Amino acid sequence: MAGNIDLTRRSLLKLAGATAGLAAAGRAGLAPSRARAQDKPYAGVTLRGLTQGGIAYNAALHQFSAEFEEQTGAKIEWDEQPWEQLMPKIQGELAAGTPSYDFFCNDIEFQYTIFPYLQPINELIEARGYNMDGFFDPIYKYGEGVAGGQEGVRYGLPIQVGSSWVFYRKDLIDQFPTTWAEYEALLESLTTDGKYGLSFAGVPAQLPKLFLARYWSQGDPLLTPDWKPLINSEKGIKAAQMLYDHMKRFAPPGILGWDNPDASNAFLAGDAAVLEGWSAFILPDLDNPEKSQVVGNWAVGRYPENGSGNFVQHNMVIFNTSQNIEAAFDFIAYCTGLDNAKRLLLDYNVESPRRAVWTEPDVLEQRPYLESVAEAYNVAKPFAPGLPQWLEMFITLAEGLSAALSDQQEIPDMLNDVASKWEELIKQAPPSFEYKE
Amino acid sequence: MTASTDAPRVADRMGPPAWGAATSEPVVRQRHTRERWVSVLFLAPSILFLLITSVYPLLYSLWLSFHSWNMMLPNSRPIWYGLDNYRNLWESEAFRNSIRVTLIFVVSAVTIEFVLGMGLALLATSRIRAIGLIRTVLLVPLMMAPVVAGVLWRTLFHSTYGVVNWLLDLVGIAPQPWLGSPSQALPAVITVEIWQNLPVVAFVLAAGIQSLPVDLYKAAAVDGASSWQVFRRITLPMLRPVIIVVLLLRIMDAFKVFDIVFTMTYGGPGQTTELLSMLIYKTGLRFFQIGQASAMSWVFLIVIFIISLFFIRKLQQNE
Repeated sequence: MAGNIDLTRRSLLKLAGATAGLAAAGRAGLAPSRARAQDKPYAGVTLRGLTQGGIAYNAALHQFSAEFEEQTGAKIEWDEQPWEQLMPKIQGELAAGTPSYDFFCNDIEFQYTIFPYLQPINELIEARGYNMDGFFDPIYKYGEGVAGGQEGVRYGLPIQVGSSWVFYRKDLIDQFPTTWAEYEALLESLTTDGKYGLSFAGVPAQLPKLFLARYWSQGDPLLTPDWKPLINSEKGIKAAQMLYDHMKRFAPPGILGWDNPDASNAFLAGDAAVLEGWSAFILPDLDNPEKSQVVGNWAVGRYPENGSGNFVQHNMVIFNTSQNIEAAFDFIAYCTGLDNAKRLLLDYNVESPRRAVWTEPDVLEQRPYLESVAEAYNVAKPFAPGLPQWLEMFITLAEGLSAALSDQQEIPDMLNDVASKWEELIKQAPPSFEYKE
Repeated sequence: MTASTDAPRVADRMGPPAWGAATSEPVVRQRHTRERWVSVLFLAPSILFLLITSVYPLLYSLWLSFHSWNMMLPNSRPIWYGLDNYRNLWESEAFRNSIRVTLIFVVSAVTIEFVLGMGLALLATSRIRAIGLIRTVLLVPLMMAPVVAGVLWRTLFHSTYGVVNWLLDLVGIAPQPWLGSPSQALPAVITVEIWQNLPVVAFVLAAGIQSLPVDLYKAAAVDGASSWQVFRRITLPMLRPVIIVVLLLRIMDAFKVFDIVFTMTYGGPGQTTELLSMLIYKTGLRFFQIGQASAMSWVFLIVIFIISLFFIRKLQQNE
């Protein structure tokens, strides 16, 4: 009939021959692919990572992921969550026994709680020859043995560090003060004609770093080696009183309702001469004439008398349930390695944990203020290192400071209440190791 | 046609069987049982879904409330704690403070919403000009997500750069600290709550007013009653069921407010705006004190339940 294919024996043979030929060509085509796969040791591997949404290094992580995939074949999938959701998400999965991530990237403090589910990486560091040189001192001091009882065990590699900076107007301040008395005199002289000497974020969670800078400058730790609070001592009262006075005398009214962007805006608008705060909220805009009234007129100083806010470090850690531990390690090593440290700092404005790159001549040429910050970071301390109850202790201090600064409670009473609550929290799970800063 | 004098059942309505004999009672009962099982089968998926997503979590949280469990501690497990979580609540200054703040928030917000809402409802049902515009403007807060409303008003209440202080400055009032002041932060949050939910009250009451019978108003007009007398003697009593429903819904919603406080003040300064919802969130999802947070949640649930029961009884009495 018209339209029917007339399959003769000849056409069938032709078809069979063509099929065999195609198969042979396909196999030949596969051979070069297999050779390519050997250059890409993790071809077919997919790694899942969890990180905080909206954080500065995420852009770098995505770029590094693309580069890593190009080099090794491993595909990286990212899940970005708000900070408040990170712990519930991880805890939920771990409690249910269904961990779906290979690695996680955020504050080292998370490790205090989840370290039983993390992969120690000391052996991998040695096997891969990962360069551990050039980090800030706190990375070595506080980055291992995170639960205190595991001396020398390292779970994560750092990708970012931080502590609060002190920005000041160099057109108004020739020499940044080195003592608290000089600091107060300076702020007083600048608080006039509708302008203010000092700006900072005054919402509860942002107050502890300001208190800690004034407390630690006096030399005492927060707790004794056997975990007894020291913050309600004379030095603690002095530090809280200093913060109270600075706020009342030199800061704009209503500052207890200000968050980081509000504090930064006051400095950018030229309404405050000194800003104590996180660099991420202001550095990108300081020299942008569309957003800043202080272009070229700012510098970075150090807290007087060697004070510093709490030191934070974000680590990349691997879950011990990962099916691709080596691939995961190679990826986090790539992100945090010496080769990419300068890129993090210069291309992505991430505070690289490698001190070595901060003071390279070409870096200092672009960002001369980094030398001062690097000195401060090298002696900074984290809050309650190693203690899983750290967050509740931190927020207790935060709310107490907020209550005292808003005249709801006297400072000595507030600090006694905070110390009492700290003791109660520590008693819930007494640490087996000594407290040390 | 029916086999008995009982109320006709489905089987009876289907008519006599083909073989002509009347349907016997056992057969009718069998068919009724089968229909019941079919109904159960159709309802089963919904009931199962409800059991899994609502009932089981509720019962699990009740179980957790009798245990101590801090998930921030490595390898922690729930430990039997009896009634201590509940006992500790009454001794907790933070919990007592949050109850106090929540009650102030709810009573203030709902009262003002009701009074202003009633006024707006009467206005909306009157024949004034521009009523269409008023109704449209009232819809704007309703269209906004609470988180967006919180962020917006946080900016408006900014002590230095906010519009509210700028407007006050125009009339010679000094700038206020607003969210940075323990005496002003809670009123500011209450203001935002009223701003966002007043339209709901107004629209529901307006709908209720429009459904009232016109005859009574005509009769009152003939009798020469004043507006106030009409409102007090006719509108208010007739609107009672609607008022009860509106108050019930608004009170339940006001108790559950979280987004506005989270975005505007996060419970500060100190704990002056820390509603119970914020405290439960902080305890359970920041500090991971799961047992304590579960106990707080159950106390919260029981309080709202009691209040709801009160209003529902009022409604039933009215009927």
